[in-house]
Amino acid sequence: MRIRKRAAYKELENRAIAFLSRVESPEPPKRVAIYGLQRVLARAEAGEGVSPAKRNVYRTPSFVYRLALVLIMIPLLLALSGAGAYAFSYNSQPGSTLYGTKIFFERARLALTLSAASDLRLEMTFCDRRLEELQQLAASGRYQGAERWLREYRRNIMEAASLVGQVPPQEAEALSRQFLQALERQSGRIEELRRVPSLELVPQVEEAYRICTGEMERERQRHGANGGMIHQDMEDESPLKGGDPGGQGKQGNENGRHEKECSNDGE
Amino acid sequence: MASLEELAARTAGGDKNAFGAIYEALLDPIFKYLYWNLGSNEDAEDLAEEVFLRCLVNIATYNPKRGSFKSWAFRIAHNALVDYRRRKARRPQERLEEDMTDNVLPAADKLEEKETAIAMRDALDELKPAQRQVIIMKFFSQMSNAEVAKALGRSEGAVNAMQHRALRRMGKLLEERGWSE
Repeated sequence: MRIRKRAAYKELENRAIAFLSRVESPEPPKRVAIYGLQRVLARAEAGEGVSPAKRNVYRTPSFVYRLALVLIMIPLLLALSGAGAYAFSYNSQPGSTLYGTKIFFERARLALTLSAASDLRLEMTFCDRRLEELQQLAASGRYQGAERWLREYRRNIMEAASLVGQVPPQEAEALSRQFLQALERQSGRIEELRRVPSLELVPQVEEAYRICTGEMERERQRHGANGGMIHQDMEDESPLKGGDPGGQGKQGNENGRHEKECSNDGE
Repeated sequence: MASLEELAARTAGGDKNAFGAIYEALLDPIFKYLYWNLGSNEDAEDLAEEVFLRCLVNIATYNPKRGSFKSWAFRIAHNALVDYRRRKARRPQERLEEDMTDNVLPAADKLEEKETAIAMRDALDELKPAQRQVIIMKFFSQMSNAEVAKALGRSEGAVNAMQHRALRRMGKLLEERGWSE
């Protein structure tokens, strides 16, 4: 059946080919053969047909070209859209649609840092930024994003507090002090806002004040508890005393404790 | 005798005689291609001139690595044809019959040839556009499958398949209309 069908197809094809061979195609007229070339050369010299020259006759670009273009364009577009989103969201306020983008970029920046010390510095910067947002919220009289703002502020403070314990000993003291100063500065700014009688942000401001002062107290206690040690370190750091800079005294204490433990084990 | 690719390189370097040789070699196949597509002698003449002008102006952009010069020239002819059809939405069949009677086959004793040509036109009109291009390029412009494939921007296998389908369709049509004898 299949062979017969194939034979029938072959016959049809042969019939068509035989017919095609019988068809007489017209030859180009003599005048075209003689004068056509001269006309073409004259027109080319006159500058005709130049505009099609700018067009690629192979209108479909090659696959490799298109692939390369796509591979170049995708990261470029991503980078451009990312930069655009960052730029647009930079000054956004809580309650605006771009505020989430701003927070996303802050977290992305935190994720890209390599040390706890850098994370802590960034968190302190973001805490200050939150305070500016709070002041702008209070000034604008729009309180839609106040809850979100409070969540973010709390998160920044808590993260910063947890990072203080993770930074290397040589930076711990300075950063801890900076953190305490930042908290003092922030509590002062929140305190000012608390005095505004018509402020409708009272619950959020009160909560922020509570968080800030609570953490500030904890930091003070920490400094107070280690006060002797810190003061000792500071004295050691003093060039006049010729001490060990970078909190080696603390390490020395720890080494002493370690030695004591070892001796106890030995006993 | 120099190949078309060599002549193209010489033309790109400013050799007008080389282009003359290209013109001589390609006028006949390009004219036939245009004629069987347009069905008009005058239109085919005009468009052939346009095709050679485009070839000359663009010859520096021809890259031998991307295919033969003949397929490149036919690609230009195909594009020119598409542009022309876009400009003038004309019925080719009417013009063909007119031309066949008046200009191309002048002698009355060539009645049979005239009728054959008209039947050929009818059969071509029944084919799909791409199949028609393949048949015209293969049988009237004497191009290889590879050249047709390059000119139409298709694969060689696709051209081969189109050719077989077109021939079968034509064979059937000719049989139905009693033109196959």
